[in-house]
Amino acid sequence: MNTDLAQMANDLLAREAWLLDTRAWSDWLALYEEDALFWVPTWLDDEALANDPETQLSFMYVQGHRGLRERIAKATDIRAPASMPLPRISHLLGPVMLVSAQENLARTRCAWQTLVYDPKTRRKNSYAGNYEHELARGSDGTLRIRRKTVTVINDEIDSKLDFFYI
Amino acid sequence: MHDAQQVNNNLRTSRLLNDEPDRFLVDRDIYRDEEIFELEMKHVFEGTWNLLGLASQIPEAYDFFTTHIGRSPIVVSRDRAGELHAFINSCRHKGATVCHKQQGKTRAFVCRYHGWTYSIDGRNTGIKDRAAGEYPPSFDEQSHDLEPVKRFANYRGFLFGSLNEDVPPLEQAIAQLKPFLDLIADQSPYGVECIPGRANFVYHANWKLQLENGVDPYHFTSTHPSYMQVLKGRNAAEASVYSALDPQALERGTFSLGSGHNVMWGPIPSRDARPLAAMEQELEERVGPVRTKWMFFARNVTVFPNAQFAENAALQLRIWRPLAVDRTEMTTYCLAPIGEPREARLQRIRQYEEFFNPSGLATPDDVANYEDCQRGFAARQVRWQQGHQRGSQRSTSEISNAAQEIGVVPVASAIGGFNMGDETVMQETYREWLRLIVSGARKEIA
Repeated sequence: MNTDLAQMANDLLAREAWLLDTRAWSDWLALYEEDALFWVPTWLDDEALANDPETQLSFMYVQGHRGLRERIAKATDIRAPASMPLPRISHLLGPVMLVSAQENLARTRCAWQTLVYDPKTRRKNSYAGNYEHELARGSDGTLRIRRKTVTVINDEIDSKLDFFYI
Repeated sequence: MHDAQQVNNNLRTSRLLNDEPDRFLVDRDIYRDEEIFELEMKHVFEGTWNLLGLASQIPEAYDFFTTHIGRSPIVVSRDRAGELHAFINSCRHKGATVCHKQQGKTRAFVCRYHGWTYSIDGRNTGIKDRAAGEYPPSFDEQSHDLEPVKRFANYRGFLFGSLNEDVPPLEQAIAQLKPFLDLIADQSPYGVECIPGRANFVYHANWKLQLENGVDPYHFTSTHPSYMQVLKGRNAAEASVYSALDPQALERGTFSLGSGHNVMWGPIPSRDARPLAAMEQELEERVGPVRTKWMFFARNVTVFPNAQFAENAALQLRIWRPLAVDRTEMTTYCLAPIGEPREARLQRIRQYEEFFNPSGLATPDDVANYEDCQRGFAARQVRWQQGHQRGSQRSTSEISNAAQEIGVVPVASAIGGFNMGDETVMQETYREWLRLIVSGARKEIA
């Protein structure tokens, strides 16, 4: 059972990275539950990450499909200077650890890195950190993302950061 | 590097500004020339008052934060008696920085290299093996304290420092800026604080692109329509201050406030959508209806040369440090009234993230534009920037009703519809910029 869940979680995370890299925004959104949370905390200081998004600053705190759709709309709006052109991104994920698993809920962790290449300036950046995913099995048996927390270790942003750069 | 005499000659010919009554143009070299950058660092940033931060960042004894004035690393600290200090973050012995964190708390600074120690106020408290050191007699005549910032002053919790001691008193330098600092400090009976969490970034363009953009109303409808589109899609319950923006219906004003400081201000729709709305009644009672009205205006205030307060839905303090002629570091803070109700604080943080973060829905578009400008500046044959002329017909030294009601005497003002998109506000700032460089360069050769 756990092997099956672990495999499904692994596939889901790999698929999520692929959909981001290929800019398949609708398919990516469909991986998330309707009320999912996408959270990128900031660092409070050299050692501690923010842990309370209600009183501490986040890089991004995006709630539900509504919030995620807004970010997709912004990223694909050709009037937006930051979106034209979009950089090419490649995600690289480390092995996925199954941190906990119940019948219909799993928690995973893995390392991630991205290469963000801007074809206009020919500048490349790399961001890295780790993901914590909460994955819920729906009534149809498929696993979807209930919560994704992205930690970015190199938090001095080079120009700008969007949800698919990380 | 030209010698000071040659530099002075160049500057005396006003090569950099075409400052005629009907034609104010700046030479694009001010954004792209490395020698001018060097002059700015020395005579502007390191020549006058800079904003260092807020006293509320260091509320307790032994607290500190670090920042820069120009190229100089600085520590700002609170001692055990509650007094504030600002000094250079460089061991007096061989120069290593002794404070290694952006902020924190410590009883003492210890240089990791040869062990010299300093108290929280920067005084030297120990020289390792001093007695055995066979120092020359003159050694005792030399101060071994961390060098104090030459001028350091606190206006209502806003901390300022100057590496140049030959500057007017702070009260004089910020005389017309004060009413706008007051509009921030007085949002709560207890002042404002920084929300914990860092969202800093570096962009690949000159610092003056941020300086100008902060008080540039003209860019909003062409740079941020994608953000406006996102807001339009929300229902009334999630309204943001710009959800109902109709540029035709709004007024915008700019004031030049002396010493390079300036402000862009004006009403914004959806007053109810602001976090500050939760405190509206208390504000009216404590500061009166006129100042409350101004607190609900969008206000972007330049604290020349190194910072801006930008306020619309939420309030940002942004401090920039030029790293190179085409590279700028931004340190940004979400400020909030101390004692703000929890719900309003939560709304403020989300609105701040959305608009002001380098990971948000608006600031990245500004940054993309700055970098495009820097790329365009590489064309040396295009000399004159045409970017400081809008609003010329409305620019005046007369004191408007708006200035009178907020208690300020601007050096220059331009008030009109939102679509006027005033650019003249930068003229007085550039005059001050040039004045600092010329007077600084002259003193060097004197």
